[in-house]
Amino acid sequence: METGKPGSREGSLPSNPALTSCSQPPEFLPKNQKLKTNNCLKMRVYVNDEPLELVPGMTVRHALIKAGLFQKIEAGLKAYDEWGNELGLAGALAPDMKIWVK
Amino acid sequence: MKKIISLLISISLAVLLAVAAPAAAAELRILYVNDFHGFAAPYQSVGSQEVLGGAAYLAGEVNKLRKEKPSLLLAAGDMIQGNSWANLSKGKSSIALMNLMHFDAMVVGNHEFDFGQRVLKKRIAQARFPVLGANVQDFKDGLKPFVIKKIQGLKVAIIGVVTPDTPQSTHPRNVAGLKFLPPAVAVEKYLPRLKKQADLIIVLSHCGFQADRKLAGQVPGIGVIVGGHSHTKLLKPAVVGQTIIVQAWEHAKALGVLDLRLADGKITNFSGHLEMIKPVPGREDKAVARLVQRYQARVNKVLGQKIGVAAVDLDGEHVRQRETNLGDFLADIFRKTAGADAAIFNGGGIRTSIPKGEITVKEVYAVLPFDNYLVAIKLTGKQIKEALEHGVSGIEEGAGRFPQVSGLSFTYSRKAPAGSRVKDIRIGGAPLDPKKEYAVATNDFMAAGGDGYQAFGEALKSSRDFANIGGALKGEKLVYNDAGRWLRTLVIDYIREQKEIAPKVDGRIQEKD
Repeated sequence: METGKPGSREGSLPSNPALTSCSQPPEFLPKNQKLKTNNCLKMRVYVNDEPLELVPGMTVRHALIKAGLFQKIEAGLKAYDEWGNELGLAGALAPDMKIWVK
Repeated sequence: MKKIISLLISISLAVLLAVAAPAAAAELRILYVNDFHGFAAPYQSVGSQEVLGGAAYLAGEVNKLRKEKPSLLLAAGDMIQGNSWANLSKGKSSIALMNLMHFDAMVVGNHEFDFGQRVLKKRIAQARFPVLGANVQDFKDGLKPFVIKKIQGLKVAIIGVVTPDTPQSTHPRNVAGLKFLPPAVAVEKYLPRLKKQADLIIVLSHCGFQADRKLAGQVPGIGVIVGGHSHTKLLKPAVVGQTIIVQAWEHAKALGVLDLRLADGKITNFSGHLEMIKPVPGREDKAVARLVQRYQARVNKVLGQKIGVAAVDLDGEHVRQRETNLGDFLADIFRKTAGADAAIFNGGGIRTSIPKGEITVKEVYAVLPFDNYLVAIKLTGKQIKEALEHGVSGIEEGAGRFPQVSGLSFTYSRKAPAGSRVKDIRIGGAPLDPKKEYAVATNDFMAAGGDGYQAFGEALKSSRDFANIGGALKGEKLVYNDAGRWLRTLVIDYIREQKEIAPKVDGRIQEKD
């Protein structure tokens, strides 16, 4: 079994801004200095086409609560992603994710 | 002599063919799980009629499927945190389980960081399989960017990547000094050299299905992405470009099975499905069942532990109608932990009382049974008033939204119409300024709009900026967010520290005629 070097940086990685997603946090700034960015510290998702804004780290469950649809899940409906795959309620959200309850 | 030479040539040829054969055509079965979160026992999900899961039954299925083909068993992260079975040993039980099941590799998930880096290093040292994290920089001692496994002559490179959102979903101290690179950058770094060494490249990803699709589109050359994080029940493999993407739902309720046929370093055929894990007696792995029981006995022992003494009865009974000493006590802990000006919690989140006397861990679990965590958001004075008005608007029917508070006081009259009941709000002893912003601690349920609270969501909508406050990255409005520690854990730690508690009702919420 061969493995890469643990914990190594192995030099600087290639800089490719195109690959930096919205969700990638910026480098820490000097204390109390603010950085204007797009809204990366909140998460926008859509539940049944309704846009919702949530705290990062929140899950499908939170999106359904926010949309007022959690009781429908308790009653037996399920949450699906835009490709029709069922989602676990503790599943992580992604920016602009579309969730359907049916 | 001729016979010996002929025999030697035959043996050499046979050996050569055996080595070369997998490169020409080989079979590989990838078994995979993700987002186990310590759910070792079978359970029934919200809204479901079916009991699924159970580590012993999962292991039984793995054993059966492994016998049929050369196999790899992979875990796509979030294995050690979540359920009490894992949490109360800080993930030790999960790694012991994975060792016993002979996992071949796992990638760290964001929740692997929830117990801090020191504990994670212990878990990595405990693991008898490589723990991967190619896009985690500066995590000394343990995380490997990739592993190359050899299975019957086939070389399989496995690169591990975790969501770069990890710093936003755990306490900042858990990821202090670490940098999480975009997964594509890390994969692109290792891919060219691994392609030369391996017949197949697998990315073990804890980034979510949406991100995995994006990664497959951005970086050609990945054979398979075994994913996690979004808890996606991917019944059949998805294909983006030339990359196969799989994910096996959550909590060991399903085992992913992907069968590959490879020839000359290319996947020529594949089929995959999820094997639902049903707790059918007789199908369990006995050794794993014993291990699950052993750690469950430890959980029970911890739940029975005495953590302190309540000098008075703690009232969790009337938390939907009025301020209680238990409501005050909990709200105080949450406000102090978040370093907030005030705390507002739904009384309905407090499920029972604790009688005077010794307090056990189990009693705190009964008071706070939900997996809620602490969030603090900056609200204007006006928004705080709106939140409190909402909180007392359903008092007649004993609605769970009745607030328990800390750092603030107010009066209300139930005779006034809902929406105009609250008066005399004071924060930190001073009258509430409708325009001023205050940091308000709450739970994730209310922050998401649970029990009809809109104020936190409204505040978040207006948040635009990043800020570095005390070395931690925070939003302009979001001032505390620790998804990795349940509220009950904060309370248990606090009681342990105080040893004896005697909270009183100190008149924060007063009903006026």
